[in-house]
Amino acid sequence: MKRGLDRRALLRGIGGAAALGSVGSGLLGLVGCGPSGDLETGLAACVADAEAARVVGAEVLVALGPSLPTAAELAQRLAGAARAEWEDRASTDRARLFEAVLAQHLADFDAGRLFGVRGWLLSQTEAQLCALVARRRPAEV
Amino acid sequence: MLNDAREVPDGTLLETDVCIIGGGAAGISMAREWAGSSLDVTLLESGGLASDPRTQALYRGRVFGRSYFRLDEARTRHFGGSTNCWHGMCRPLDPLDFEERAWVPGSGWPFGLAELRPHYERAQRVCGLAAFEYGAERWTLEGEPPIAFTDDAIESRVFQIAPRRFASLYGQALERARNVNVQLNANLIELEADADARRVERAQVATLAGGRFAVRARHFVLATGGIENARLLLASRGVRSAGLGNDFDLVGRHFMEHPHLVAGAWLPSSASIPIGFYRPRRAGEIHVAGLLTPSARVQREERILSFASFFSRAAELPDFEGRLTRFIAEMDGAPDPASRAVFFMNEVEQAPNPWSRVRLTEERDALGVPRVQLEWRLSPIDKRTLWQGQRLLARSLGRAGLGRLQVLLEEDEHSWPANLGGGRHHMGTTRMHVDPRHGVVDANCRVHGVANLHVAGSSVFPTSGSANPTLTLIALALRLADHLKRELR
Ligand SMILES: Cc1cc2nc3c(=O)[nH]c(=O)nc-3n(C[C@H](O)[C@H](O)[C@H](O)COP(=O)(O)OP(=O)(O)OC[C@H]3O[C@@H](n4cnc5c(N)ncnc54)[C@H](O)[C@@H]3O)c2cc1C
Repeated sequence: MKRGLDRRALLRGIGGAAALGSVGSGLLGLVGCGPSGDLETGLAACVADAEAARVVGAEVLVALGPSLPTAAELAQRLAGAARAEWEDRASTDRARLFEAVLAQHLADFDAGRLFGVRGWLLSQTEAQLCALVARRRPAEV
Repeated sequence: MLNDAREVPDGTLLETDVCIIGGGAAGISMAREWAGSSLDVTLLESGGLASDPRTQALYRGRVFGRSYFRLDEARTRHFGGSTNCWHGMCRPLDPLDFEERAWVPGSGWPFGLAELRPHYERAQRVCGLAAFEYGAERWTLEGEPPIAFTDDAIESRVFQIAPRRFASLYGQALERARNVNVQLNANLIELEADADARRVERAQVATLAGGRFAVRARHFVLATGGIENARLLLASRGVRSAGLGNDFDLVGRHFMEHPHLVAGAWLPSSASIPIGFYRPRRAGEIHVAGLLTPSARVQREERILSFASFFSRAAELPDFEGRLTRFIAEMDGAPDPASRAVFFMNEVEQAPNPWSRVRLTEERDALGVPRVQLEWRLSPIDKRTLWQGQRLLARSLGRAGLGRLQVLLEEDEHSWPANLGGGRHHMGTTRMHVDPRHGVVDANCRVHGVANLHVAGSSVFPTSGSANPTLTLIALALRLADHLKRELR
């Protein structure tokens, strides 16, 4: 899959998101989708506007408190119990990794798993995604 | 006929079938019902045709505890009442508002929306509104749809807005009606009851020019507004020291407002999400504006009250929010990040609270009537509703890919931000309940135990919903007029 993919079509494949219209349809740089690298890199690649995500992520890290998690730790938190599957997707098909991220992001809103940043209520998933981007060095994003 | 009470000779006793006290939204709506009929109606109105500082000063009182508007600035004391300055935002109560809700102590009206529905339709006409339709579909404009949520937690509705001045709208018709005697500058100072307080014998009236006279009627209707109705019952203590209708110490308690505050900002994910539905706009003879309110399902599940969020203002984005909007536009699949945030004003239902109350003070006004002290108290569920309501809205917006919400509130059950205000909606102080131990008036708005005394106005609301009160209080007043017509047949 390439950058510029029709993400509406992609989203139609996501369970539960079929009815969502345009949610996530413009998400992600989806840089290269071949087997390339680890989960952390794959997740960071989900974000096209890394500069914006980094600014938001810096605030998320402040809200998370003094025990500053590494990008790898944040990647693990994001994947949770689905870690093996997400790692597999990260190395084989990043579009499908994105699907999983997006589905989890929407499920957060359903379940009320919100994260407050300067009062803005984000999904936990997107907040952690931003934090992950912020924890990587710019060149790595 | 419009008359000046200052010309009524001292000591006069006026006889009438129905004596309505208060010429505001409720009193005028009722008096119109009898215009041209065979019954004789007297309407006692404290003020004249225009505002007068001495009359307005009769409304002064003390505010104790939580800050509130000055009491003489929270309502208007001349013919037309507070419709001389109201904003005309109208909306009926929702079906759930009438129900007994296990999580809201003191909730439950003696009847449901179906009972009030025909009277709401009449109240629409009295207020000069359009048809009784408040759903979003009816008022959706081409290209300006309501927010397309993907769940049913939050619903879009509308206010119908028509700030009609009742005195100018209906004054002439009342002036022409020979059977309606509107006495301007006539202040009720006390209702005199018989020896066992079962009937009101007379209304004692005073003018600021020093005159005193009385009115004897078959039925009396107190329609002086949500604070004064309680004040005048409490001040009528010639027979019962606690006041009329106050055998169970309920008069003045359960004062409810609609807490108003900007509690959240919405950052739409796209500049092209239309918000015109929520801005006030012309629709024929009236204006309409959209609002967001929690569905009955979600109120039940979350055990919260009702609230209404409506457009307050849009603002440019500061630096951080500028970045945030770029990120969420990506997450939500929007090609064009929004450049402005939308602030919502929230109008929240307040749960009935017996410690939120109006009582008399030692101080008296120029006519010798004890002034009131207002103690407005909020409950934990009121705050939780606001906080939880913002979270629900945030979830529904995020779920639908429509942006994120910023909550401008502490997440606790007690603290309220400094920008908390009221709507000048005064409700609950003579609440309605079939059982005299739980309510001041019965289902027909008759004061329990007093055969010929009735109350019109939002003071009879057992619960307030999140709808502005005037449409509902007019519907109730029209229903009361029907009831009295049957009684007087
Ligand atoms: C600035 C403002 C904006 C508002 N906006 C809205 C809105 O948008 N939507 C909405 O639903 N509501 C609104 N309200 C509230 C609305 O005005 C009231 O709900 C409504 O007017 C109450 O009607 P009422 O007849 O019970 O009382 P009132 O309209 O207050 O009338 C009471 C009348 O009784 C008279 N009176 C008082 N004491 C005595 C006495 N002792 N003897 C004889 N007469 C007496 C007064 O002079 C007055 O004319 C607003 C109020 C204000 C102040």
